[in-house]
Amino acid sequence: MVSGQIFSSLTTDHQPLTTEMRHTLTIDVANEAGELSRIIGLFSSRGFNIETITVGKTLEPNWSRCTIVTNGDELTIEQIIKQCSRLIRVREVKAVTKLPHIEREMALIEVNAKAGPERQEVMSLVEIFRAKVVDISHDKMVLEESGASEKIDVFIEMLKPLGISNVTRSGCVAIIVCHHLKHMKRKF
Amino acid sequence: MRDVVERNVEYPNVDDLMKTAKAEHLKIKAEPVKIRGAEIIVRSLIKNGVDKIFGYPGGAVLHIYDELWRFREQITHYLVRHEQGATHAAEGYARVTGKVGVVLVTSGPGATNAVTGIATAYMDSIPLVVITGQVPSTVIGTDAFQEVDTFGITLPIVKHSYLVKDVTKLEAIIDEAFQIAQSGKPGPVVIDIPKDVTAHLAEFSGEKTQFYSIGKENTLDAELLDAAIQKLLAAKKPVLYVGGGVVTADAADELMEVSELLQIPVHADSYGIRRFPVGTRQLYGNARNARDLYIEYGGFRKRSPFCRRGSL
Amino acid sequence: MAVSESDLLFAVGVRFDDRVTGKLATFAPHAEVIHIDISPSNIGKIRKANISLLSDAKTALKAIADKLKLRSKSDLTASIKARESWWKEIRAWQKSVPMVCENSETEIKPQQVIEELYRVTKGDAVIVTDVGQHQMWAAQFYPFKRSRQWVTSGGLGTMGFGLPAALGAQLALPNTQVVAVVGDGGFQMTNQEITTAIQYNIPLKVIIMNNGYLGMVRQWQEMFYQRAYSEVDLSVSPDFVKLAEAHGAQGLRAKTPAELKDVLEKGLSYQGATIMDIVVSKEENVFPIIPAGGNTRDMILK
Repeated sequence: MVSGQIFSSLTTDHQPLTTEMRHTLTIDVANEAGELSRIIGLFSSRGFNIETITVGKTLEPNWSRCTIVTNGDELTIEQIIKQCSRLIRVREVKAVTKLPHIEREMALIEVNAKAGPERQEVMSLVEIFRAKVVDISHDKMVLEESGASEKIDVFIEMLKPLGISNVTRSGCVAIIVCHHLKHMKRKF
Repeated sequence: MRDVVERNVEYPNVDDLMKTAKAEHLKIKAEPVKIRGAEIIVRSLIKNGVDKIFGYPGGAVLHIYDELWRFREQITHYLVRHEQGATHAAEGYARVTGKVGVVLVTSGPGATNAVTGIATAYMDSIPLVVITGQVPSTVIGTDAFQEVDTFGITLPIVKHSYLVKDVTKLEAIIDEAFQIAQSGKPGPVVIDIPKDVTAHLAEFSGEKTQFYSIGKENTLDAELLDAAIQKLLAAKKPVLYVGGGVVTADAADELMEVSELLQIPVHADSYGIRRFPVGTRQLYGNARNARDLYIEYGGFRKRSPFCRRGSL
Repeated sequence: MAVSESDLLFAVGVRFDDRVTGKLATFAPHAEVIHIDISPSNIGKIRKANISLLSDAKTALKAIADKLKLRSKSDLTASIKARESWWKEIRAWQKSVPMVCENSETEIKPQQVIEELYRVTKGDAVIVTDVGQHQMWAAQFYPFKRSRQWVTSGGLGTMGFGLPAALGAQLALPNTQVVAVVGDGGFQMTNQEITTAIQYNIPLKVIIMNNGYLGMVRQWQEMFYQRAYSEVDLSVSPDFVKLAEAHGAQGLRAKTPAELKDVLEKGLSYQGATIMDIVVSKEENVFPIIPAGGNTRDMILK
């Protein structure tokens, strides 16, 4: 069922919300072939680009959780959420954008790092951003960084002058924050 | 096509074997009897109350048609001349009875010809179960003869769909499909079954597994009901705007009652309207004027509503 | 009209199909909405509801009726009295819409066919239609008495639906008269299923409203495209009577109003499949009609 108040609501709002926004959804879907296609079809049929999509296991073997980040107007997103939750094999859809939640992404970045000042520069950035070195050769290094998407954006931006030869980003995963302190704002 | 079944082989008669097993004096625990997928399909259809199916045979569904021949006393198959006709006929059947219409077509072009009917049922929320044959699971994806990605093609126009790879799950899938087709807002369900799966053997339990409750689902909040009634009583210019949901729920009488108690004019949308009694005999309000009922009818292709005689 | 002026829309089992609402912002602009639907995704999808109830129509309406019966008589009468002026408005609108079918001596009007059909079947038949102008006229001129008497492709608007659907419906209801009303366009899409009717002795009854055009498209071209009739001419078509007989069904034709009644009576009472080719006026239009992007106030009445 859809969380947030969608039905049994006493709203008097007639106006559709047409401004485009970034939206993050988590969808608990059965771990079965084809179900992901069904969900993605809801986006592609409306010409909605899926910016990132991840899916992974949950504690229950039959269920997976899919996190989708997309861009669009609020009215259409609401439509998509409702039609998604109507799917037989979808257990729950959460529009986490407006709820207190944590969103993280991971990136693997291959950067030029010849021995000497170049490598040193890379290493100082690695230290600043608390990243990890996962591969190294005479003239390149592969770095692993995880965190909020904005943090990764900045990290990549800082590495650009050194020469990035390859980047793979994972897409976001999201989780609702711990219940008891959800009224407090924080950034980790 | 090497998987041709030899006709001189005697298939085990499930009923006889069960009787034999129950015979006290034999004191033998019956071996679970396994039947082939095609027989499971036909027995499951009969179990779910199906007595008429509409279809057109083809290579991928040969085993199923063989079983239909064996069970022809219990289930009648109507041979159409085009698969689109099969789906529309099943729809007509479902629309007038409220039961699930059943369609059987073969793979590839058989399935694609059925797409229009499936989409028609989807848009009007009509309960259909469409069984489409598929090439053997070992050659799926190799552009085999009469192969098409039925599952992929029908994804956006079904309430739910299956590609059956495991014959042991077939019976449960068919039970679930019937329940999904009829529950809540009804809709078409497609079951894509590869030919080899119809030849594999599995047990048939004969019991119906309950996945969904069909019919009344509601979360009627007393407070909201009261609020709604307040609004209804207070409204100066209300209109009861009704649609297909009233017909699916067979709520014509309840609708009359509410509109008569409150003397509210009824306005029915394109499809919903004509499926419940609207005729000249139904009077709303104090008027003897039989046309107090409004219809605004959605037009073909573009919006071209019109009104019923004398009513707006 | 009533909807655009209403102050409360009590919506039950509707999905606010765009073909009915027209331009959303102008559909019942002054009304609050109570929406009852079984599917949560339908609620608020097109139109936000002030109060929404997730339920099937039967349970919800019964609950409301029960609660209303608990109210005092005076409450109900007071409420009803407050609506008297609303009913007056409604009656006035009803009177202002001319909705008459002017019959002719020489050619059969499509509306006339439906009226005659209603008379011959005494309003008891299940009517199955294809898609197009005839679909509109059938809904306009055939009043129904019970649930599930009307079968049509309302959502997708599939041409070719009528004939095979009537087949399935007749099989489902062997003791009820089922009549398919189709256009000459749709008939040509799925008429091969007449053979299915013959094979299983299904008394399929098909009335073809034959105007030699793809009527609905032609009407739009006439009204909004300066009569540029592009690809709607179906005057080159098979002889439907001969086609029916080739399949093994009875084929009948009516060309003048005088022939209409007999053809319908003969065809509908025949113990077997009958195709009735009714030649109707070539350029008759369906009214009222709302132009694309319009709302109920833009309705064109004649």
